Amino acid sequence: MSDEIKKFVLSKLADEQITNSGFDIEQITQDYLSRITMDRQLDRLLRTETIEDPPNFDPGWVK
Amino acid sequence: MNLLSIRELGQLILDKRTSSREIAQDLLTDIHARDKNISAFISIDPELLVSEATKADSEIESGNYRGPLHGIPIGLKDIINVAGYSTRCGSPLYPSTPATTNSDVATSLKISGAVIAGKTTSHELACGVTSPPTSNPWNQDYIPGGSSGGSGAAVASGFIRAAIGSDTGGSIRIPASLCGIVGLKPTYGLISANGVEPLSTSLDHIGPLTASVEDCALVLNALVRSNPRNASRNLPSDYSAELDFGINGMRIGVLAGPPFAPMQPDVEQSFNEAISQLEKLGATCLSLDIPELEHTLAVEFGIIPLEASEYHLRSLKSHPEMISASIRSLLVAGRVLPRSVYLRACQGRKIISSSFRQAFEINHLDAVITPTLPATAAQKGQVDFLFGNITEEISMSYVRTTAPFNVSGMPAMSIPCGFDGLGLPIGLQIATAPYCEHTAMRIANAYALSTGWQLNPPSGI
Repeated sequence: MSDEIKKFVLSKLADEQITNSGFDIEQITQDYLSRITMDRQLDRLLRTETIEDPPNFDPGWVK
Repeated sequence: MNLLSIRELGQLILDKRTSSREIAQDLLTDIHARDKNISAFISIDPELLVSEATKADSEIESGNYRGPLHGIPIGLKDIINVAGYSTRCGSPLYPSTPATTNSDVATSLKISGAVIAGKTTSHELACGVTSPPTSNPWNQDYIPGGSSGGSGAAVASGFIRAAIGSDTGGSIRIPASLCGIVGLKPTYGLISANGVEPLSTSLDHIGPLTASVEDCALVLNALVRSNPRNASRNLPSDYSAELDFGINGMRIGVLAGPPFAPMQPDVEQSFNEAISQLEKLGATCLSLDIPELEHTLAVEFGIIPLEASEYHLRSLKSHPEMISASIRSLLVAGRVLPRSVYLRACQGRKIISSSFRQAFEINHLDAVITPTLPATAAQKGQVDFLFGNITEEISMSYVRTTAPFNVSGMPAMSIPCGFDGLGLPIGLQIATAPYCEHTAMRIANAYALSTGWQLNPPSGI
């Protein structure tokens, strides 16, 4: 597991003022990664929506 | 007595062949004798129970009859506030001091004359599928499901005909399926969640777990009164009124691909038999594919950690040691994950919801069916299921088939549809368009009456 990701998770925990006491950083980092991976799976779903239902964006000055 | 339906019990009370007080006293004796093996109830107040039952008898005696629930004991999951009972949420984080006010759900049940039987076991913070220390009444070496495991086990054990649970990813339907009873997760927001400890507010649903479809309809009649907004919705005045209308001509979509597959062979066989039975009853069953549903878990678990961690943040900071490791990890993930995960999941939720709507409209569907769960009850301590050569953690297996309807907010119910080779129950899930609970129950009732599965209690009851 990348030390960089562990550092990121630890810094987020500090930002959130969540004490590290009693937390297994390996477990939390692994959990974080698995949830990020899960989130990435949404790319396909969200892209499908864009193709079938493009946002109605008209900047007005494009001719 | 405990195999009689709510309507039958109510009639006996009205006819003075029994009384609510007598039913309450029998219940206390039964719990004392048998619940030490099941642990369905986490707290009972015998004095309060008998006094409420006696009050119900007096009201009926004086001509103030409130309907079929009057004098009937009903259990509430221990995340639902009931004045006089502590709300512990299966967690040491919560105080043992009794709640001073009722949740809207408890109030609506009391208005209907129901008697609070006690509080039923919840998995810690309503976030899990095992509900320790509760056992499955069909085999005590197996889990009852969760997180409303105590409610499921209390009904399946025959202690009570109905209990109330909550369902964020399947927590009513999972124990209903594993315990061989009826469980309904109504449309999102139909039942007030005021006074219920939340897990994930945009996915939490409150609903009944009952011994029969008719019992479910009668309890739902009471619960819908919990939400004042329902007065302006065009809802049935009595959910039991159409139960016997049959399903001839109905169109039912069959969802059996991912995320409902893979499933255990016994589950697949029972599900296929259920499809045949529904066709025999006059419904047209069409195979359906909604590919967007494969993303259900990414949506579900993009929302739960962030909402749950927001609610439990103070406890997470002050008493992390009082939260079990797996739930702590989920809550911490909710603080660490970028907010974009939540926003993307909410966007994905809309897409899944509209994909259901399209499928219903294009195919002129009245309902969709799925196996409630891809597997029967896991043994206590079991970690994974094996589907062919695929290993899957048990909570993921259970939630992947139920969560699509939390994400979409559609009503979904589980009814018994058979047993596996070990004699453990299998559930059939029926989901309809929002606010069409009456249609789901009509299908469920036609199926249940034609097969008799719901009349099979565990041995010893």
